Amino acid sequence: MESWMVQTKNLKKYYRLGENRVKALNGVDFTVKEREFVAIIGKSGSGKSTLLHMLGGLDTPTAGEVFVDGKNLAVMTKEQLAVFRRRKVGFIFQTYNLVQDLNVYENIILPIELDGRYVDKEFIEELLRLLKLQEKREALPSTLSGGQQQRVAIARAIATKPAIILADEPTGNLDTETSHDVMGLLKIVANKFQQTMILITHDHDIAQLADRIVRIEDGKLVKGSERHAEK
Amino acid sequence: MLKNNNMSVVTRMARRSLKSNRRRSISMILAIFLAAFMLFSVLTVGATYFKMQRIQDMRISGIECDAMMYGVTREQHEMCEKNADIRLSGVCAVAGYVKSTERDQTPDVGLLWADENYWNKMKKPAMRKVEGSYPEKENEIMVTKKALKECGYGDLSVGDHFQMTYGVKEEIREETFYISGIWDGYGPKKEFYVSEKFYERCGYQLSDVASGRYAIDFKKNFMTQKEQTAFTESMHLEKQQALIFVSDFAYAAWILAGATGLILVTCLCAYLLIYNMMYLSVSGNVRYYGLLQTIGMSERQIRGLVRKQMFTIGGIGACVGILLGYGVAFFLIPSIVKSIGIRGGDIEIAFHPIILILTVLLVGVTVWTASLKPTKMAMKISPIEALRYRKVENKKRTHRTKRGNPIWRLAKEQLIKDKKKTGVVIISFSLSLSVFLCIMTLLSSQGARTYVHNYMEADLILKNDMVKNEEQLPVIDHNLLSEISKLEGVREVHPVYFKKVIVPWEPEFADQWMREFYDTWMRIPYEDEREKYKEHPEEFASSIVGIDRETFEYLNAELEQPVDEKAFLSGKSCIVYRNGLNFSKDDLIGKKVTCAEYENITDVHTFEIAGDTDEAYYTAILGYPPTIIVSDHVIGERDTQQIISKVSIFYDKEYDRQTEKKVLEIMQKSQYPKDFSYDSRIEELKEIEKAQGNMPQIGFGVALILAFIGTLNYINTSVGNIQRRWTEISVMESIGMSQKQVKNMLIAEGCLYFIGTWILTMTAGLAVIYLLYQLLNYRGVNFYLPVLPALVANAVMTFICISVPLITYQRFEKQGTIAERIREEI
Repeated sequence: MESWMVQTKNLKKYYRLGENRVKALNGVDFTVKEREFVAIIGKSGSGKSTLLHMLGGLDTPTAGEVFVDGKNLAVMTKEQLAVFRRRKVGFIFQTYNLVQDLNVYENIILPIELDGRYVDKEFIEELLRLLKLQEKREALPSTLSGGQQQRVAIARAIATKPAIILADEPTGNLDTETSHDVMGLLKIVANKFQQTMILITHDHDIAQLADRIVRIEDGKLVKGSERHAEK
Repeated sequence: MLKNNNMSVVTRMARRSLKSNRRRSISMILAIFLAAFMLFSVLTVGATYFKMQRIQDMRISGIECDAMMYGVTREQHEMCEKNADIRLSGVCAVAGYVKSTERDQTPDVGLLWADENYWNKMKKPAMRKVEGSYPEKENEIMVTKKALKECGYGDLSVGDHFQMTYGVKEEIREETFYISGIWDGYGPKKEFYVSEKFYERCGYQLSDVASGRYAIDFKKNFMTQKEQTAFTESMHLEKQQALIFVSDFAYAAWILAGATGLILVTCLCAYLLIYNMMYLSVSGNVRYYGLLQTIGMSERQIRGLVRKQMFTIGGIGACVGILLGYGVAFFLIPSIVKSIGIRGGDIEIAFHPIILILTVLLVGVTVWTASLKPTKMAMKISPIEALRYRKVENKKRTHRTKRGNPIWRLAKEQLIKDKKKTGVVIISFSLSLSVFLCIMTLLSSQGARTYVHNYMEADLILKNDMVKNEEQLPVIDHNLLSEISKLEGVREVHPVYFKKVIVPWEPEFADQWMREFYDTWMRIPYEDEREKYKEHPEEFASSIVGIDRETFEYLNAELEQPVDEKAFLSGKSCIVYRNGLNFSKDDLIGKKVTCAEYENITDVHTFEIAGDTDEAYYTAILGYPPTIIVSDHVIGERDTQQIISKVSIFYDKEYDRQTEKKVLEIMQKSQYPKDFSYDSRIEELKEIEKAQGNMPQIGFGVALILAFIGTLNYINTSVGNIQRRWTEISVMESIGMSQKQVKNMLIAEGCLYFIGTWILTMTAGLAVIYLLYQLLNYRGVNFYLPVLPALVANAVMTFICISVPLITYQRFEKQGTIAERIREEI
């Protein structure tokens, strides 16, 4: 039997928007293998981010089940989900979402500290080096460029050595050149530390970097859309 | 240039923006409302408090006047009549005393004569009811129930008569008096008022210091020390005369300064409250103004827009605040005071238009000042920048990596990153707390109990009234003493022994003393009586009093220069009662005083004077020569039939009514139940409480309003703070911060705010409290922080600092999942 890092079963998420009910996810069955790099593409409002949030335990499904690294998120309490997120998941957001009051280094090690664990300084140094952030170690996020901030976000996502990295349009706010730089680094780092990665993007070029591309439309995976990226 | 009439669109925009940003508008209105409410209610209730305090002082002294002159000559009287600064003056003169009646041999009642001004105008505010009229005939008296009771005639009323033996200046007379009237009210009541005709025949004159008391009421509400001195000098007082300004008038300038200080601090609280909220709300809205610029709104229009919004918000907030303040001051506090059943007369709320003007003015200025910076920010920012604008509170570019618990570190970072905002919150919270504690300190210092004093803070002082009589009876003897000390509830009993003595003439001390005594207290020169004193010192009796070790220790601690204990207790040295004489230390200390027992003049004793005291507690019969205070065994050694003049009794529990009742019962059942009197702290407390009326409750109302506002300000800021950081908190949750950790972080922030506030209050705040207290403390009550209110404030603050962020977090947390919360911001 194949080992799945991620598995969703008939996953549904409905929102109430005024009088209307929005079906953000409408029965998604989706699997990702260990160490696989999957890109999810789709139009705005298609449900890609919702799916990613479900996988990261940031949102709760209306129906269906989500398994990550063998654990059923639907049965977890909020506290357990928080612990799950800081140990198993690394998030990268389009708007970087760094803590503005902490410097680069503090932002990167924050999830480790929150977990009460010992900071593996050598590993963090390696990350800083790989992501070209050594010089910016004590800089505050507001003084960094978009690309630099996103690299910090990547370092933070990887610092806890999570099982899976969830990236929500990480290059959405960056110019093309910086986007490719950042993606290149993300892929190198994910490969080096053998991590599973799910990436949401509008950009077909970026999606091409993934092992597999999945299209989502109106809250459903488009049948037959799954294909391996052209290498 | 043609005028572009676009004000209507700006007005419409301002109105719409206020409506659409309802939450922001409400919080700004709330801030202004709270500030206006605080100012109006605190100032109104505060003014009422001061008014009631004046009434209380008037009630305690029993007369409404600003100064009292002892002994007034015809010239001085005329000068005062002509003085344009004096509103009113009146005479109240000592006409004699009641020596005895058929029913009581030792009544303690004085005879006074009051002129029309004094009785009908100056004393009237201190009277609750008057039955009958002021005496006109020589044998008529105006009485109080208390004075009648003292004479053994508590059952008499207007129209009744009784016989009494009374003393006037130089003789003792006996006569029947008719009661022309009875009054009741505040102030001293052991006195009978007599007619002018009686006074004319009593031998005293208004110019006698021992008789004439001239009450002066100035037109001014207060006089500076300089003005007071100038007035005193203008009266050309003789050596014996004294002019004493009543305490609240004498210190009025300081009280005014203190009250101004309190008002300024309250204004500062209000300013910070508005500024804090306005600044946070408007500066958080820069994006909106940027957007308006992108669609073509000019800087001027934006300024107009912001000002219109401020005007509307300020207007609504101030009106609602003043109305509510009016309601609280004029209806809520009086009805609460009434509903909890506190009696003390009606509360007349003092309203002054200046309070209204001050409130409106301060609110206006604050709103305008608070909106200056954000308006400028909104005007100057480029449209594109404004659209991208996200408030960066930390202006530093880097900071060093810090170690330690991440939760505390994050909390600390929150406070440090915008020091100005944190400072404003802490200062405004601390100001409220300081003013609250200041008022509580003042209240406790003005508490009825602080007005109640007995020497050594004894609960009860029993006095043998027979010591003044020719035949000195042992009204309080050792058997009674031992019975009283064995009572349950009585902790200590300290008697003062007394013996009548003569102090023979000698040039070194006695001669000097008598010269000064005549200069100060007598209208005849010492030279006229010197020979008489030399030859017949027995006609100039005085007293020696013996005190126990504990009483001596208390007295010695009160002396400017403590005396040698061993010499005093062994009977070698003594302390003399100074009797208001003007001696320097060298005139008395080290000299010898010789005295002989009145009944046995061969028993002579000499003591070295080691110290002097102004404490009248030790006096028994006040003769011309000094009262000599010695160790009790000195008297004991010489006479087994000691007379006890006074006994100080201390209870296990202060103000213990049961014990007092038992002590007085023992005295009532004794051999001389009518020949003792007593000073009871419990009874005095009752009188003071009556005089205070509802003053403490009103003061407490002010303190509560301030504490409430301070708390609301913190709640407002705390909620706003979490609201603004909502995304950041959600982001931290997304990377694995658990809810428990978020809560801990918020608690840590609350604790830091609390610690900051407390440190500031206990340092700078305490200094301000102390300063204001001393300015307002004209009674010289020792400063001490009221422990219970401080602890309660502490506990409430801790609770608020911790619970408010937690409740806010829980409320927000229910608004959606982490993903939804992050997305909302994006």
